[in-house]
Amino acid sequence: MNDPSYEERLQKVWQIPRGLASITAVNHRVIGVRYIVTAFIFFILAGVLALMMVLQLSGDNNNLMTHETYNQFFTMHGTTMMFLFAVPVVEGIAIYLVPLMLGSRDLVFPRLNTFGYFVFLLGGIVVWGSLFLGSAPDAGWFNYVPLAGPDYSPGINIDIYTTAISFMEIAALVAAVELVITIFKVRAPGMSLSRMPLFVWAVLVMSFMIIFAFPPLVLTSIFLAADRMIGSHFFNVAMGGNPLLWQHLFWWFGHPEVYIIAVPAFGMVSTIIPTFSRRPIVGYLIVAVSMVIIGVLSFGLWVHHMFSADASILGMSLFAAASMAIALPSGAQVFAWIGTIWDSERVEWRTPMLWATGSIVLFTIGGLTGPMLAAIPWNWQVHDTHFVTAHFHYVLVGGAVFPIIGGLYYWFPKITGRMMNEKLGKWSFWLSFTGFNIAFFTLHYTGLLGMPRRLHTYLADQGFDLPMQIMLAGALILAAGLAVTLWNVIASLRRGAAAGDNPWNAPTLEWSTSSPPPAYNFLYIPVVDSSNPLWDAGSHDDESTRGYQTGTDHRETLGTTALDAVPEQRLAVARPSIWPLALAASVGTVFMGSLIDLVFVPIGAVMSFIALVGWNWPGKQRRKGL
Amino acid sequence: MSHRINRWRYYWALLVVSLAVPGLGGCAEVLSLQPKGPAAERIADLWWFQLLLALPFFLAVVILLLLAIRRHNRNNGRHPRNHGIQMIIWGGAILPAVAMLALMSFMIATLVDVTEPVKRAELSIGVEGKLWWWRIGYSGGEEPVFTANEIHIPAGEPVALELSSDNVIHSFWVPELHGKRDMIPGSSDRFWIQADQPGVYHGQCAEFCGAQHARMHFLVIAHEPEDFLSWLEQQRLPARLLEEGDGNFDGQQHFSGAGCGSCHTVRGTEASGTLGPDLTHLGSRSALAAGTLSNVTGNLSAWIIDSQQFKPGNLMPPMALQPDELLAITGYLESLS
Repeated sequence: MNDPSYEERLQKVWQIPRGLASITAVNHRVIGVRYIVTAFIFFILAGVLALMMVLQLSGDNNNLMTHETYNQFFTMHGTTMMFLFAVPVVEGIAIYLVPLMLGSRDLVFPRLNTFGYFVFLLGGIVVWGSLFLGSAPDAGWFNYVPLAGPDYSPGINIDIYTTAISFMEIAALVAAVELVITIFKVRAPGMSLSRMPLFVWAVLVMSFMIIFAFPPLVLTSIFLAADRMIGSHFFNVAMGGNPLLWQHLFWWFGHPEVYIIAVPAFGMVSTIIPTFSRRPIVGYLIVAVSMVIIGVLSFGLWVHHMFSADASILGMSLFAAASMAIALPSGAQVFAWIGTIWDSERVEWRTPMLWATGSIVLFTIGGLTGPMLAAIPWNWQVHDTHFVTAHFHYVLVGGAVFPIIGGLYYWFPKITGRMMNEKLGKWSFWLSFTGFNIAFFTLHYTGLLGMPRRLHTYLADQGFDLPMQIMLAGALILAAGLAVTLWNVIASLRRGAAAGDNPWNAPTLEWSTSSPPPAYNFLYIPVVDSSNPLWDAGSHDDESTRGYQTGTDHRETLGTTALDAVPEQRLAVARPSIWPLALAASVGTVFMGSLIDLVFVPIGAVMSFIALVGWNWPGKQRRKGL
Repeated sequence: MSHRINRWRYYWALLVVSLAVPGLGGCAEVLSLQPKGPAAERIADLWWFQLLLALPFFLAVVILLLLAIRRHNRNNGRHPRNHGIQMIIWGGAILPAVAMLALMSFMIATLVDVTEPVKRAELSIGVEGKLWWWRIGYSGGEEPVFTANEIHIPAGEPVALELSSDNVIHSFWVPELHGKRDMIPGSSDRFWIQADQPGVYHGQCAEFCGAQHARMHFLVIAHEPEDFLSWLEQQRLPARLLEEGDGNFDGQQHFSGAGCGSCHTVRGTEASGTLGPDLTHLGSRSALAAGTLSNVTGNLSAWIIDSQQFKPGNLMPPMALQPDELLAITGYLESLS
């Protein structure tokens, strides 16, 4: 049965290009790792900006940096963390893990996926290049008009924002489309939706949210670009334009964005905690449904970012109620995690578990200040102060970055085949946890003192000095903690202990293959009859459920039905190709070229057309009718 | 195992310390929670109410987590439990639903109270957000009176504010008196404040508005009602047009000669510009440039010569003046009180 030539043929057709040719690689694990590494580089860069800002604010009337530099730094910190770290890193992790968790050989459209990565990379380089040239966006990541309009920001700074942000959203959107289709079409036979790992549920919710949230952002960025470049009047008050239009469209995207980042992180917590609690999660269905509810509700909250701008009491109260309602599905997840630990017979306190558990505490604090901000009069008091900064850092760092780092410790063995150092991992956690709380709990306090956000300096008698110095101390401890993890990654890549297939004795399919997995992921497409297949294995070791072979003439994986995952087709999957890069560069020419001269728009369009023709040119296999 | 338990206790003690640290900075005034007017007072009540609602949830999460962790360290696997679903039902549905209903009710009650003052405001003051200062206007009388960065009000009664901006979005905020309200270009918005006692209350722009967002302070100065009326009467007086032989005549001439009047108004003289702050009673103000500098001779001279050094990006150009001209202008401006 164990046909060696089948394995060899599989290896040959799925071979990942090496050397210079690796630029053409499309395998989801290659692209996933590229996404993750690139996103973490941006995370470090944006973190350095944050430290410098805190340093600037550690004394009144400090002169470490000018207001121009500070305004670019805080804009780039937010923009980078949101668009270049948080979304790409969760998408990267999803791109890496989802096919493995589903028992698939690859995503369904690997070339599209590869195209998305190059778009993200190109956009990120342009945005950061502008910072090094001293002309980065400087009107905040929220980029409110009229400040960001042609009259008050005549420089190139905001043009970088409008073009690069719209451009990069293409990457987020193609990854989301890709993930939705993959999740619906290539789940392992038997993996009905009700058996799908919770992380995959989270990715599904995230992807749908991206599909609904990002187009309005692209649209409004294009409106603003048009105002700035060709003199249209979408936001020009003098000509009947409306600055609040920008805010509505931006926050229609901006609020779901928080959950786009947080929901996959919840999914990681829901994956890590059961593994180390040695039992299935308590309330699987409740947790899955909670994520869906969060995804839907999050589109009904955006006005709570605008309470101080709007004056319709009844209208605002509805948005306040919706904002408070989200406490329920969030609370349900928190108590599902605690309940899982509580009901466990044996908890193993390995590093990933520590990060996941720490995240529960931090996310709870951020979750409790959330309804406070939804309470309109209190919102009027603390809106645009450090209190809000504290709130969303608890949600986004506590609720998302901590699980992501937990996930890094958890899946690093699968990705590299080596374990990360436990001792360093725990040191890193406790330093980060302590530093984070010192730094960001303090910000609640400075907010109550009356310190607005986005100040590059403050007066001597305002009482902000001491708390900001405490903040600086906390930020340095946090940075040290994260640096320990960085060092741990680098050291473990070389010297980490061999991981084996399933070092944590985890229940999901990615742990059934070798670490790192072969290019084709699984020798046989696995068959599943439980939501924790590796824990419940053994009940069906007869030959018929060993798994499905796939064809080896070209890349293919097994297509199954959307709800019950019944095998229905052999899905052809694309080979390595240079065209995704060519298309990314061409579309990049349209967007980035428009910064220099509008003549690049038609040039880029023609290049894109050529790239698309090349992309779709029938290959040998298709010409033979395969 | 006891070694392990101790270590956990130590870690949690660390958490508690880290949460307590901000209390050490407690020497400053917590403006949002030290209300000096009815609106801010109701809002502060809302804060204490929601804090009371939130704390039990935080404690429940931490205590249940600690108990769950502790239990495993003691009874390694001997007492499996089955409480998880109940935790979700109580902690994730019933209790938060009750808490949110309570919060919503308290919020709506607060909202009704702070949206409009109990008593109708008799005085209405115009507040315009500028780049990066505040133009304050009092109507009534023969012509409106403008000042900058200081809102004088009578204590003990509500005052209506007409908020507007003709440039970017600013946000009006005096934490001790009320929450904040954005000033959206293209629409003017009615807001109100009330200070119960005479005093000086700090305000600041809260919406990022560009280069000098950080230096856009203002003061609300509440007087006894009769003092307020005499202040306003005094502000209504135009400056005296000086004639040759008067004390600051040279200053007035140089002020005019240097073109100051194309941006600034000194009522009663030919200076009638509206780009910059009205200077008719500059000498009576405590600060320059929206709280950037205190209003003393040295600062005023330095500001006139090169304001960009103190507030880069502001609209006032550096002035090329001879020392004697500067001295004369400064003296003239200080005399406008």
